[in-house]
Amino acid sequence: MSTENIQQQVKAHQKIYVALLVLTLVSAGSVMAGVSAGTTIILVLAVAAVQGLLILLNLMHLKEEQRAMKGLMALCAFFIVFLLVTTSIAYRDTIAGTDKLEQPAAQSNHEEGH
Amino acid sequence: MDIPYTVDPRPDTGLYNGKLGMWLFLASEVMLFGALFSSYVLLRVNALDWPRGADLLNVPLATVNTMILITSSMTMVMSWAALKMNDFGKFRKMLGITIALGTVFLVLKGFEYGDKFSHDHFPSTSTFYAIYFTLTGLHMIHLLAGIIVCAWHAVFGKRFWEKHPEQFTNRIEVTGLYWHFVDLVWLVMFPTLYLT
Repeated sequence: MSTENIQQQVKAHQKIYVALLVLTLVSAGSVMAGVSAGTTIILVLAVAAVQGLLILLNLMHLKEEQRAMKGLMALCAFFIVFLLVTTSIAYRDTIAGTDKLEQPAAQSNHEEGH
Repeated sequence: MDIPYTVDPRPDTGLYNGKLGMWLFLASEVMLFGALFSSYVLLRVNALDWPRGADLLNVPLATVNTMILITSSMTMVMSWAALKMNDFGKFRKMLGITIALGTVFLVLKGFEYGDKFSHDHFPSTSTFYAIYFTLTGLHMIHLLAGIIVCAWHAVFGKRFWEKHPEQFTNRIEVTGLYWHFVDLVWLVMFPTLYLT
């Protein structure tokens, strides 16, 4: 890699650095400005995703790596999504189970009242 | 006997040994932090009442810390670029700034922890504080490990640089990969714990 290429790469990274700082301020600013909780969650997680991609693709040079490395990282991302989906399913199962358990108890309380 | 592919990339993966090893290590780290973040989501969605991080934690201090860590990632890139341009002095200076910024992050985090402890907020206080201390504590340990490795390169790297400049540059690139990953984890942790 020539000196000129390195300097160009550093300049590109400096732009990404500024973008990361601005995005951080946007996230923190939305909370301090009192934006509603629902909007804040969507906004800050979207900003975090953009920041993560900027670091992964540019600072960690993943976009210049071969397909095998990109595949490895995609597999990791899939793992996290898989965990989140399975935990969500587990949560829904718990709710369903809780409903079944609570119904007889509620009925017996109702009968005792009579 | 020389170990092959310490400088040149392997033809099959396109990566030299150290870089391949680091990517595989980072993949395992994704599994570790991914599992903890999933635990956080599970705990949060199952809780009847979950506090808003912004109400309990110091958002301005965490924002400053985030900016410090992002800046350290930039100086890390500049230290690698200095080596690519055969400027060891600038490399040492940039890596020194990176170490200093990482240390400032840890000190500010220490103040934050101290404030929590002075208000009797411990991991045993609530589920929120348990996951907060677990996630941020693990991140701090990772950052400390990065600081130690960087300090090693800055203090003892000169001789290796003189003997094997390309291999040393690769080591710094791999260290940079780890540093950026620790930064990335914080960029996910900051909104998850502090802002939502």
